[in-house]
Amino acid sequence: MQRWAIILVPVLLIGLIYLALGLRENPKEIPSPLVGKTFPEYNTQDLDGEEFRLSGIDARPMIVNVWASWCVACRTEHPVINKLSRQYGDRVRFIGLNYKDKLDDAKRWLDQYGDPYARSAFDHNGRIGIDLGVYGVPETFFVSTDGRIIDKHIGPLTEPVLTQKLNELLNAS
Amino acid sequence: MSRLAYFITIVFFSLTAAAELKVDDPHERKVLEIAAKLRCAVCQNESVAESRSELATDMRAIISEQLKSGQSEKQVIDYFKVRYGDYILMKPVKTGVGMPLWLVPVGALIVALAFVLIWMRRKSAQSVLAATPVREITEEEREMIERARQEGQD
Repeated sequence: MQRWAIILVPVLLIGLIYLALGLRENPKEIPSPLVGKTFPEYNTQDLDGEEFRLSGIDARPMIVNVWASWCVACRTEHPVINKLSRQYGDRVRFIGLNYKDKLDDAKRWLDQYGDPYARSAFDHNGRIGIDLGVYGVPETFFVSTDGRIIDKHIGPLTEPVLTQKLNELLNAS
Repeated sequence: MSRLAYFITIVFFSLTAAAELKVDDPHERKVLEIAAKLRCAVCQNESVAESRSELATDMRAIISEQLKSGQSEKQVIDYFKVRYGDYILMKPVKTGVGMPLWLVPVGALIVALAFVLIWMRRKSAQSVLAATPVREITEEEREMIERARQEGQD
């Protein structure tokens, strides 16, 4: 009996530790395999119907904020993006990716809550979103000047988090 | 009452079974077959084939388009794997971090079987011993043992 315990106890303990670690993970946050990869290039349109070549390579780093007018959580993070866009807008490109929305709703939303974006790509059928591994909005990509995705945030951004990530982005670029 | 519940259950399951069988189109069936291997990212532990979420609907559309453009099942699955990671697969990967998930149950089963086997052998050995009547050794045998002991010491 004791001999069994010598084997069983450590095995159970390891199992429990494994389980405890697993339970701490948020199942709603899927780590993106795209972090570290190059941000793809998309030939799309902006909300004014003009051609928009969305690319990571630029003199300034960029953040791509995936949003939609139907997304409730986007409204909670929007004031943060507005504010930090004013502070960082000259050093970082703030790009919106309007995901699965109606054009009129999207424009009205920006009129109502403010438009922090240098430009917003219009992804009406969600194909760009899926190509970027987006599964919920809001999501935000941080892209350095060499076009590499250095970070991705899932869910609404708070001011301290976005400030920190913008600074990290500037340091990495 | 319980008969009614039984009846409702039967009807319900036969309806869902019927709903699954309704897909006749081979292309559609292939789409659902691939979709069943992919996890719906927003609904947790529901496959893309089962989910009614918008993301799953879009993903099914993409699977359909890619198949039509001649992509293989592996290519379609890889498309999603590159973008959403191993998480997107309903069956965890068999290498790297996913390996323990596959090996631990098999290992546990083998260990458990080994324990049972050892236990059973011991039990039967004990019962054999218990079943054999103990006989007093004879004088002749005692001398044999003594001789053997003497030889062992030399």
